[in-house]
Amino acid sequence: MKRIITIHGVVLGLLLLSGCSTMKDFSNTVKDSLFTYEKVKPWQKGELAKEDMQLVDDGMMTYADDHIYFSKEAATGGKGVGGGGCGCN
Amino acid sequence: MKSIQKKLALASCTLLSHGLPNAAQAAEGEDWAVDGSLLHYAEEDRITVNKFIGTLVTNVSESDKVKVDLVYDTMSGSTPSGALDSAGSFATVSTPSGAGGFSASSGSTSIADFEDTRLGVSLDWEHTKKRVHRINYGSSISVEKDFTSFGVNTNYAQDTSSRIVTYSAGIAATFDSVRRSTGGTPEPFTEYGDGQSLDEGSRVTWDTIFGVTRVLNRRTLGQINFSTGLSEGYLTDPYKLISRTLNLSETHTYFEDRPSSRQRSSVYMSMAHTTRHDNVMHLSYRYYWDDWDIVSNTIDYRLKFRYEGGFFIEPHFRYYDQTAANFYMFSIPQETYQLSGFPEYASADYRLDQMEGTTVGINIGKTFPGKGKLRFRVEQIEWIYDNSLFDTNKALVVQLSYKKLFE
Amino acid sequence: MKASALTSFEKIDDFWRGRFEAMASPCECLVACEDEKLANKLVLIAQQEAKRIEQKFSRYRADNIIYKINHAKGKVTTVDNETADLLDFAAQCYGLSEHRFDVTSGVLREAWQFDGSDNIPDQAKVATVLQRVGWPKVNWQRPALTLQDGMEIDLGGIGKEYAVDQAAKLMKQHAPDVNVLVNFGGDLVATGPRLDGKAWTVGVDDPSKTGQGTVGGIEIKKAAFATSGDARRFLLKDGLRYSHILDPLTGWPVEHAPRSVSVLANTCIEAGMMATFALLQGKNARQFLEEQDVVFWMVD
Repeated sequence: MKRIITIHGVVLGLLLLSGCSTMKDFSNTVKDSLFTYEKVKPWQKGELAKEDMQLVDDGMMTYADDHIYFSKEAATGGKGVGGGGCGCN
Repeated sequence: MKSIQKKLALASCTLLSHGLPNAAQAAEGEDWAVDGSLLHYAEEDRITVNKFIGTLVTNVSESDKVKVDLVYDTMSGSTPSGALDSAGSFATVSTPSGAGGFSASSGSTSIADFEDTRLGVSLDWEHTKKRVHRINYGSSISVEKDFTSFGVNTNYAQDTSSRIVTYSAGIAATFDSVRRSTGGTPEPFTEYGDGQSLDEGSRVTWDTIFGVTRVLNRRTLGQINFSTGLSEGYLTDPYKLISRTLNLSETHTYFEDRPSSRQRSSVYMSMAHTTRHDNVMHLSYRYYWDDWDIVSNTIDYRLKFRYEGGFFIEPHFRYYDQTAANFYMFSIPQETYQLSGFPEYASADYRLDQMEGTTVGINIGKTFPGKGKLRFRVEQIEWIYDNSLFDTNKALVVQLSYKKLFE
Repeated sequence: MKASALTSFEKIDDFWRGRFEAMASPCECLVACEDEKLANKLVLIAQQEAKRIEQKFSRYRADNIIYKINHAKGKVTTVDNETADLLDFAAQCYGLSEHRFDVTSGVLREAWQFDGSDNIPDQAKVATVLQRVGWPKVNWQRPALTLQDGMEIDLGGIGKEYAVDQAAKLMKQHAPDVNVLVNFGGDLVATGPRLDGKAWTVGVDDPSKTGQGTVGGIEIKKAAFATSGDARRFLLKDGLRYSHILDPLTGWPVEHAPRSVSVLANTCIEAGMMATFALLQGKNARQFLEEQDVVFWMVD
């Protein structure tokens, strides 16, 4: 398999680090997200209720992406079922 | 007296906790919302697609929500056919556009001109019972010159009493009808230009999904989905070709052939997290495999920086890879052909080749609280193919969307 | 339910302020956003909710669930979820306050009228009315409530703070990114800071100069604040001040109750109940509050 370090790889690194200015930030984010479990009470759900925190927060972009990648790649789906096919694959 | 503060706090919050929105649902303040989008997709020297998408969502009652989607696509340009070049051997050929042929100037069969428009409509109804049960019924239709699709789906989701976990299950059935724009489908492995044609192809696809969504902590939401699906019927692409080269000057080109059954599965994990800096991160990973021996990994990462006045900037990165389908080949090897004739199945469609794709993009916009959201994004996608006539494919995506809420 | 006009609606500094009358109190809602239409909508949502709760739980109406409960003449009343939740809460408060907070004590007003005069009732009268007081005498098996004939449920002690929290909750549901401060007659909650992260400044009323002076101010970003006191209702006889806070066990006013108690908490209802419990402790109010480990202000 050809693996080329493209400019994209460099940008990826920048992106991952852009949200974290230090290694400590990065490890905090990992800990806070995947390794912190709490039984969240209803009155603590303020952040979770915000539109930005929906798993699909922008249906328009998700729909467009799904169609682009459906017509250019072999793998499909994962997020849900249904939604309309097209002749592009 | 012992402190009763904690017990009073708990009693107070229990009293107020009924009716708060579930973490997995957006707040329903508005009565209806309209979202419109214009998308431009342009590959370097290949296809260009322009899409217009419109969505209308409305709460018809306290427990019922209806969504209508409309899509209109126009596609034009050229696409690799899978054939190897055979200069000058064909004058005109029937193509998707039904009017012209392969690019006459180059006389090449490896690129096919392409032009089509598509119209799609889908309808979805979500009914909520007692706030914890949600059932969706959906249907969709898509029509273009050489393809028609009709699908129905249903999904059921249930929250636990604490509304921390949601279990969901869904099933969908899609019926597609495939044909060349000039009618019919080609007989597999017949030579290109022979003009033989079979009936139009049809196929049925069943998909099922099981998922669990869980609130991990007050700033993180996670989801895992298991999906599996089966397609049966005509799965071949009626335009795609594959060549056999005898020597430097003699090439035969045939219509491809794919199995009439495909079983797909995937595991998809996704997370939304608000960081300590109040940025919102979305990360997902999908592992996919099917019985054509394609195995694929997809990673998608977005980080949204939010600013005063509802502005945001969101960089986006996606990485994709896949192995080749077990019947994918660059061309039909002459030695194999001499020994045993055509293989059972063969395709040179680059989309079934072993490949990697990376996407880098940026999305910027402004949220108008209670009124709507404007966003604009630019993305660059690059695919690299291992064993195909064309090594890479680059595409630019530009999309402008605006959502408006109404009372 | 038609929403009547607001008393006023104007931009103050970086937030919008809407005022209206509800629950026999001056109410105001402060909305931290730029958009006038959205702020107006949110204030109307709060006003609507205040009116809804007032109409549903008011003692003075003959067409609501409270009337049905109080006039069932010993028969069973089946109540809705919201009323059931409030009754469950009242039951818990009865226990947490060591039986001092009792929603059946409203009938004692038949013996007492706190009009600033010297009309103290006699012991016999109080004793008779007291027979119709006592949460243990209530048969509450959710959702069925059975009251002895002559007994009454009065949710006045919970209603206003509950309305404040409910109004704030509905406003947050409508616009999750907009922070508000809801203040019904001095009982308030702030769901987050103003634009630019600034805190809301709240003046604490001086009970000896009600409406005219403040003893100080506090700054809150996301908290609730409630005050309980006898500033406006009391009886004066022989130099003794009889607070309108009645002890449901004796039928008589709580002795040496502080003039006012204010508490800071996460929700208005928690703040309000804690302040009320403190008042009911009478001369032990300060000690009680200190043991509770809450932020409070007290005026003796």
